[in-house]
Amino acid sequence: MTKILKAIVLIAALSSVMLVGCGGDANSNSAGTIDKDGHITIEFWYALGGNSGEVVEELVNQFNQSQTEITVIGTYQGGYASSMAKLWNALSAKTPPAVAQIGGAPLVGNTGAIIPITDFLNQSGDFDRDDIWEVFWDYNSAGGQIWSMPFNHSVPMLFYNRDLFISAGLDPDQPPETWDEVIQYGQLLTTDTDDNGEIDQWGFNTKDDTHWYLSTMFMENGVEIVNSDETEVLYTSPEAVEMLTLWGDFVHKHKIMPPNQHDESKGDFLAGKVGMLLMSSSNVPGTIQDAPFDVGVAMFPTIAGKERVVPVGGASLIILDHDNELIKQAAWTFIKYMANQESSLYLSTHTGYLPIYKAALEWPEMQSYLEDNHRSEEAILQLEYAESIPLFSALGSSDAQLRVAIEAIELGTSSPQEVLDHAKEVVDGVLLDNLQDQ
Amino acid sequence: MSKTESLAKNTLSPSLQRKQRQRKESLAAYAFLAPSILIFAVFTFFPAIFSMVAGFFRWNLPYDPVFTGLSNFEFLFVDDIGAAEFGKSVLNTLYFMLGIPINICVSLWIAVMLNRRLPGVGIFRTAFFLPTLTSMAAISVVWMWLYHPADYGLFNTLLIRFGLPIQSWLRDPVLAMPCLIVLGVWRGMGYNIVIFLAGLQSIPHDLYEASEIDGANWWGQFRLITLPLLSPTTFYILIIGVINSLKAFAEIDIMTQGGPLGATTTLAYYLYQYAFQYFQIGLASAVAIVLFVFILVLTLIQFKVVEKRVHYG
Repeated sequence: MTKILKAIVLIAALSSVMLVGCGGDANSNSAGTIDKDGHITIEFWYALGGNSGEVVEELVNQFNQSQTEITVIGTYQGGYASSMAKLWNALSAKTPPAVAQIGGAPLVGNTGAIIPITDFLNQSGDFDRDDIWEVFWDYNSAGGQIWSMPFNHSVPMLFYNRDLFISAGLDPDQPPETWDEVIQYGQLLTTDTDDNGEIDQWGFNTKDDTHWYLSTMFMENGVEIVNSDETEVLYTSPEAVEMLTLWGDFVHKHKIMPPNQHDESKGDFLAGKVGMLLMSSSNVPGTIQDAPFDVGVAMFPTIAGKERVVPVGGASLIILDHDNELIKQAAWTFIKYMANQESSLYLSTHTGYLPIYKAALEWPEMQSYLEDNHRSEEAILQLEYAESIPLFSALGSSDAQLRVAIEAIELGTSSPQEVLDHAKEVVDGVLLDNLQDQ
Repeated sequence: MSKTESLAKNTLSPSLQRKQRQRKESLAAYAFLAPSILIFAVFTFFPAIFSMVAGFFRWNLPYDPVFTGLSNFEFLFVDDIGAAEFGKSVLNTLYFMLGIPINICVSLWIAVMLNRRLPGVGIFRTAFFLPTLTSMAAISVVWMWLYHPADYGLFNTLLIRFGLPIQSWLRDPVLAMPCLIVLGVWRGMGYNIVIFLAGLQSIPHDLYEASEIDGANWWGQFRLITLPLLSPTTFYILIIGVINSLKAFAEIDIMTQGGPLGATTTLAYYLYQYAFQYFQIGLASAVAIVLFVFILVLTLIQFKVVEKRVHYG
């Protein structure tokens, strides 16, 4: 009997330890700690994997070595979607980190969970806002507040296979500038290479984040994506329908793009089966490294006679609210370091992300980097045309609806006006519904 | 001590002893069960109850939950947009379950073929079992190459060789679901074959010998001996198959993300989209409740209808 009693007590003890482990402590230890000597340790969640993730880790190391008061512990939380999910859950459980890297940061702004960067920018004289492109501040702002620090950003670009250009009789130094040229070049690049009656080399395609490229085309054609009150989306206008129609024409009329094959498109491009591909500029170094052919990188095509305009994408750094002023200040010190000129130079010369500083092209280190990596220059030059894409509470479902709309057009199941009307109905419903939470 | 007292004590004590021993044994049993009960309670039972409750709340992360009664179910069953997509995911789930009878037929046939004393039969048994051991993520990536929509995809290469037009497979709203079903059959049959083989080998051999003497042919033996005596095994495989197809996720997430045009959005994937892409925990929990009722009803039907036909030899 005593043996059994002992066993029960032991198991009960173990169980309670487990339960305590599950529960965690709500406020104190998750974001950061301060030890007896005043040394601060804070948590940082980042969202870049692979090579880019190693670069972020290296920047964290450099920060830790640059001073002695603060230690930052960086943890990879999966890609943007997964990081966002974990952050939402952590906020729900009241165990957020001190700093996090997320995409669409201003969307978290109105939850009250993060401290606007504006507060810190105003109090510190050592950070000059004007050095950084205005578009990045816009991209990180909502409701008159800057919610997050610009960090890793990119723009959409046209990648092309220079070898295929030469085979098709095109000049690889003259990539297409307008959609008309894309169609014209695309038709020359689309062929049946093995004469089996099926096209196996396509002139044009986009990566699977199709909503981003369609949104860019909307912006080019002057389409406002959402109204200023954020109560309805505006992409049912004739200008929007015109661009989605053009998209459908790539498939059905001009036959330069295969229907609904965006998941395969990057692999196909690397295999030399696609002439031109729309992708984020963050892919520049990786694609050049992986492709067995000569890769060209050009600015995003424009509508003939209209001005060039591109959105910026990517992620930013947020400071989560915390009771302890010292931890908040440590978080600010850290993100200020992550966004300073040296870090921006390091990030943009070791990954495909863009420098956020206007003067980047004048930095000697950047110039010598671009001498060996000239294909990274177009994306930086394109920043001059960058505008912030609106961020609104239903952005997630809006993007999803645009992807479905594109699918339907490419598969030919309905008309551009119909699919955009449907998308608007769904997204407006979400926008209306979201008002209940705010 | 009177005579009656001592008698009573003598007659009572064995039962009392037995009771004590029983209590001791059950205490020990509970003690040993405690860790798994605890883990089950914390990670399965509690979340299940929790999501039953959450289904009646409006809970869009990171905002706090608000009780809204049946409004989530109203969205799923009444709302124009909600009911359309939810209804489609229910139909998709039923469609996906077509793979179960196909899987049962194919694996039973192969199991019968493999249930012989032939040289090299072990190699075949291993080969058929291999897909079951491989990670679904790896399988999905490889099958995406097989299903590649261009003319250099493996299946398209075969079609061209036979002079047939190439297909878009996973990128075609009509073909996407059949593609997933074929993959599911290929992947699931290894396990089913092993279970069927065990079932086949437990059928007494003398039944076949006796029927042979009575002049039964192969088909008669299969229909009147093998099938009925295998029915407990088939029943088990059916239930496992239903559960597996209701929770299928990895292949859908990797290969189609529920598309094209929602053609492969099953209930499980629909739930995932609402919980982890749109962060609508309340609505996702409501879907979980519906999924639970769905499984409950299916299981009850299986027990009521199918079990009548199951013979426990």
